[in-house]
Amino acid sequence: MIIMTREEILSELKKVISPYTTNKEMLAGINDDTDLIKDLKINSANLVDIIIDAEAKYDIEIDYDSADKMVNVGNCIDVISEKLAQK
Amino acid sequence: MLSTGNDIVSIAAINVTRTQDPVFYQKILSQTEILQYQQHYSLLIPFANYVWLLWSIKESAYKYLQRFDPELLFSPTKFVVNELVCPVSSLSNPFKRLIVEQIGFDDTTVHAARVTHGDNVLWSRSSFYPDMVHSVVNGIGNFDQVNWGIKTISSTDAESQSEAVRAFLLNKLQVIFNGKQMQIGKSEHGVPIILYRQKKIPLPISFSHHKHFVAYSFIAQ
Repeated sequence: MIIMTREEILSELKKVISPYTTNKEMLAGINDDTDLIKDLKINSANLVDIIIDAEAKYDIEIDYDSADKMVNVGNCIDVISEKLAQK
Repeated sequence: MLSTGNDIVSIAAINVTRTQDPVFYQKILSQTEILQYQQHYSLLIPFANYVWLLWSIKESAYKYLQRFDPELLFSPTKFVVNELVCPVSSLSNPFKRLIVEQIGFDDTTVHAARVTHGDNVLWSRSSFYPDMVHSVVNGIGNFDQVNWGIKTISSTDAESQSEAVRAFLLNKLQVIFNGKQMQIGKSEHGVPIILYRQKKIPLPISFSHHKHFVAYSFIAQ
């Protein structure tokens, strides 16, 4: 089992998301409620990229049902945290 | 309520190598769709194009259904595209025009398909250019009254795309509705709506944008 705090996951998650948003100011201040599409203006075509990059970054596998939930930053952290705990 | 959903993907912007990686495409295509490609479409469409064609159909279907179910999450593998019919003459030149606006589709140049999500059955038409794919989905299977438009823009930031696609549609609506000044707002669930004199009018619209392309669709009776 790998334990990372939500803050640690968030810090790494920003690096995962960064290539897919031009809104760097918003990215710097993201919180659990930040929506990937509505707030960070990430094109939906890049959502699969983010999931795959997160899998590689944390060495985890994100199943379909978990991926569906990754619509905002808080959900992303929840899913990554859960998958890390299962390792 | 007659409605549509549409989506556009800039093929020039996709990562072909990543698209061909099973880790990537298995998050978009169902096993049935992968098998369908191997059995029926491998000689007709490059695999990366097939993946993004189906993505655009699925995203369009999601936009269509989300209007009726605002809590719906986009789960690509749960949308299943079948009965895909490829056109007899493909669009072999890049989309170089600034604007295309049309009612209905030329069935000899579009990909037609059926897409299901649970018990929902929808139909799609997709225009596949070498550099872009645009799909429109509706629930009746007849596209004769579907208005759609694609425009090329110079700026690719999200704000410019959003402004451009709204202005593009408003210009079209002004022509259709004899110069009436309409506005675009958002429903409580974030779905774009048309307002006239601050009141919502029952004309469901769909927007999409990716890189240098913006597009709209709606049904006008």
